[in-house]
Amino acid sequence: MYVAVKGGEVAIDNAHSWMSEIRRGDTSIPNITLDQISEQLTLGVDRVMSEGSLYDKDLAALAIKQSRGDLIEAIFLLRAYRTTLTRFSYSKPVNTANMTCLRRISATFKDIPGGQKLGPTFDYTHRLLDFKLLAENEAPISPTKKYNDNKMPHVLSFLNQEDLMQNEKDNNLDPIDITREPISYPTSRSARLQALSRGDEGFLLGLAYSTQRGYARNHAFVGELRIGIVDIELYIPELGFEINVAEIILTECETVNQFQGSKIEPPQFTRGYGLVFGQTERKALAMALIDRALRWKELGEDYSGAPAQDEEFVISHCDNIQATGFLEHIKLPHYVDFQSELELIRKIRADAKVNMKR
Amino acid sequence: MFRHRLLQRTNQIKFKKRRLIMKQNFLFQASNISKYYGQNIGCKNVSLDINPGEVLGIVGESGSGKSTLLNCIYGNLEVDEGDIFLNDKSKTILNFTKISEPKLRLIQRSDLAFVHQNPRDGLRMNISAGGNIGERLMAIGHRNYGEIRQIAANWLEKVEIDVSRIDDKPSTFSGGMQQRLQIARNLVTRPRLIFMDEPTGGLDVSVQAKILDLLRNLVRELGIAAVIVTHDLAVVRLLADRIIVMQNGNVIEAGLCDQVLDDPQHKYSQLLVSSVLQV
Amino acid sequence: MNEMSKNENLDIQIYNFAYLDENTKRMIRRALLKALCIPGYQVPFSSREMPMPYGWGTGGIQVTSACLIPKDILKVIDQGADDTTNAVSIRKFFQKTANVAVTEKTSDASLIQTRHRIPETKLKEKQILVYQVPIPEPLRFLEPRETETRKMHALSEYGLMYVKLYEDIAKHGHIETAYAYPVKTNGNYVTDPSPIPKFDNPKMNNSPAIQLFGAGREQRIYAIPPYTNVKSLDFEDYPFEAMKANFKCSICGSSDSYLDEIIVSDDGKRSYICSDTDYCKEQTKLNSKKED
Repeated sequence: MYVAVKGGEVAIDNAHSWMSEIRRGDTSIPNITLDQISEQLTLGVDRVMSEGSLYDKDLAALAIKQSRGDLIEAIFLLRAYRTTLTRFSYSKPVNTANMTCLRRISATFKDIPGGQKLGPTFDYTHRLLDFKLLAENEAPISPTKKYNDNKMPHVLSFLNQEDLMQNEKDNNLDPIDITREPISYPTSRSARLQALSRGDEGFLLGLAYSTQRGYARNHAFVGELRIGIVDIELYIPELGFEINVAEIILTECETVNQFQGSKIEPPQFTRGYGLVFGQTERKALAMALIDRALRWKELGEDYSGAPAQDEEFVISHCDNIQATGFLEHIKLPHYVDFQSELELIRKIRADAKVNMKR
Repeated sequence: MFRHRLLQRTNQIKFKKRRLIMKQNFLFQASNISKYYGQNIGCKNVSLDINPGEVLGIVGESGSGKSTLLNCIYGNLEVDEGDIFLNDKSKTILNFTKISEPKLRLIQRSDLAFVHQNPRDGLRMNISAGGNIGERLMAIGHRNYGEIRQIAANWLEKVEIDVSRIDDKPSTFSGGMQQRLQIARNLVTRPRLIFMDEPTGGLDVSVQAKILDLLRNLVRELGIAAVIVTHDLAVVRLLADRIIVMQNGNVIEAGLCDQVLDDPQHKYSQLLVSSVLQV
Repeated sequence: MNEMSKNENLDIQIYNFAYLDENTKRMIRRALLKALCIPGYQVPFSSREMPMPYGWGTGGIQVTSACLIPKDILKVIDQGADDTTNAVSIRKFFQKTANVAVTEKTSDASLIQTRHRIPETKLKEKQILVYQVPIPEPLRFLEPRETETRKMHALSEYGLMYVKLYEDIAKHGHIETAYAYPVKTNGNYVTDPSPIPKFDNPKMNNSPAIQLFGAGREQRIYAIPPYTNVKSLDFEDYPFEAMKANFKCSICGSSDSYLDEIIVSDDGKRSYICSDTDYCKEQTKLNSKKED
């Protein structure tokens, strides 16, 4: 005889204490410290900060530790915390042209003012497991000078000079804050970019890949990819001027895409744009490709029915916190709905049997 | 770009002045409709009138702008220039280019109907034949299942589809049956004006004849006005009272159907008519 | 234990009353007022990220948070029961962040947050029923596009909704929807009642209580004011029919309350019990009084 299991209170407490124990793992192994996470798992920390849309390495590290390395869970923790913080001001727009770059490459020009700079990248490494890392090892020291004072103007600004690049016009509107206003469709580019910047890396990667394989194909050149430090400036009304309040690392990607032109406009290049917290190269590239695909209407291109062109589809499904919550909610009890389905299907089957006998 | 627009605007004003004052009893009127696709012309400065119960044919080869024109005047495509008037049931004259979208959609599902060339565009393929016919009824407030089903059955009979197929999905129908179902779905609420885009295109000749015959009878019987776009002169000869001939987005000849077909004035119309005769 | 209660006090200090900050509550209350003024209309609101997952009641929790006052008596149910895991978790959340009194008794509660059920005990004036809503758009599975469904509501283009009911009857002889059965609110907007079994639909009609609906992930709030006409969609000749298992509760013997089916033995023997745990308790008490 089974007993109907209800009464979750004790079950919940037990489950959570067990989970804490498992999180700690074998206690003969030292507890992982937040410093270790934020210093040695930096790219994971960066992803959590960007999709959690809160730039705080320590909190991101804490979230990763608490979530046992489940990055989406960590992003969730950060988001839930972020939403309780007082929004006392908006910063000035960051000026990425003044970025102190640790990496800056262009796939469109061999040489550019300020130079190409490979920076700390996985590119051109051989993906061979490095068994040396198994042993405790001394800190490797890189011989190159890491930062320099080279001015690094945006590569695409040189195309702008010839008018070959479509100029992005400032519409003088404040960008929409999608965490403060509900998104309504059709939405603005500022809302789209914000949603994409917070969006799930995996979802964006897959969508961007689909545009490369012909679903809304528009060949993208990486005009520039730069990663580096920018200043955050805040206007203080009492002072009457801006002050630097922080330095953060951003990844920015600008793609150059073809545009056919129209009756009244000569052909020009157009831009896809990606800007993400931290060193998040894959995400910024994907974001730029999707941004460009979503601009079909504004540029008078055809709608080919590709998922990456469908604003409602992309924006309403790119947030992994929304997605994972709704997906996982099907684990919750559904006894009542299921019961009503049970009764209905029995009734329909009974009727069908009667009809068959006739 | 601005100068281009300005030029068109002044042309339009000049043209307007020359136009006749609206007839009192017209059903539908389009004046100086223009539509551009980037640098290409969809249609340019097209005007037409339709009287109650009248069938207007729009003919021309493919690419002549006739489908564009049809979609513009139905309200499916936004026009770049021009006005579209409907004399609605309460005798108020509505301008499609000025009214709100809700109002337009209301008119589209009450006064108007649209038959697509491809029945797949005009039917819900995953809904039964009965549901397809019933949708417009339910949209205007029918709430009796038995009645809706009866009306759907009557219409299936009218368009010569076996009533036993009422619960089958259109995907199991032949092309000709699908087209007849689409016609039934559109006519069930007795619209006053029906737009048809190559309704017999893509069907074989014997099936075409059957559908044309059906359309002629239904339109006459119900007194519905129609605009029918086709490249097939035989279709307009059978159905239309008046026709307009289009080439490169422009109307090059218009008049009574027999008149234009028997005595075409424009070179291109002559070519069209003679090419049919040669077949 | 001492440590625990210290932590809990800390939580109360860190977060505002009922968790959300006052500005957010004001934003939600505005949406609620608008929703009450236009019964059944889905008001977009800037849903916040809550410390529980989307899809687990974040909409209902935000609405509850915006409505709660210190003297409220809160009841939380999931599947009709006060002791299901998610109900426990949400009730705990508000005990912790708002320190309000809680109850399992429907008639004692001033605010009831629910998932998937309406209590069997008739609600009264001045009670608020907050529904957790996963998909607020009743047309969503007929038309996935928000831009399109908003137009359909604006124009009362509900033909497609009835096509679905028509198809059900044509195929099965019944309307096939068993839960989240769409209703028309105040003769105007077609509204999703949240995934309650259709057995509960009639309780929505002309209810003395305020009914509020929150969908967090979808960022929508809607409402049914007290004494509003709520009609389940149907055909004249196929009228709406509330439905439940045709058995009696094996605990309290009630035959008029909605029943959960449970499997009680390895050979699949079934038994039926009230899904509304409070109602079941009350009925049992009444029965024992009668016996006395």
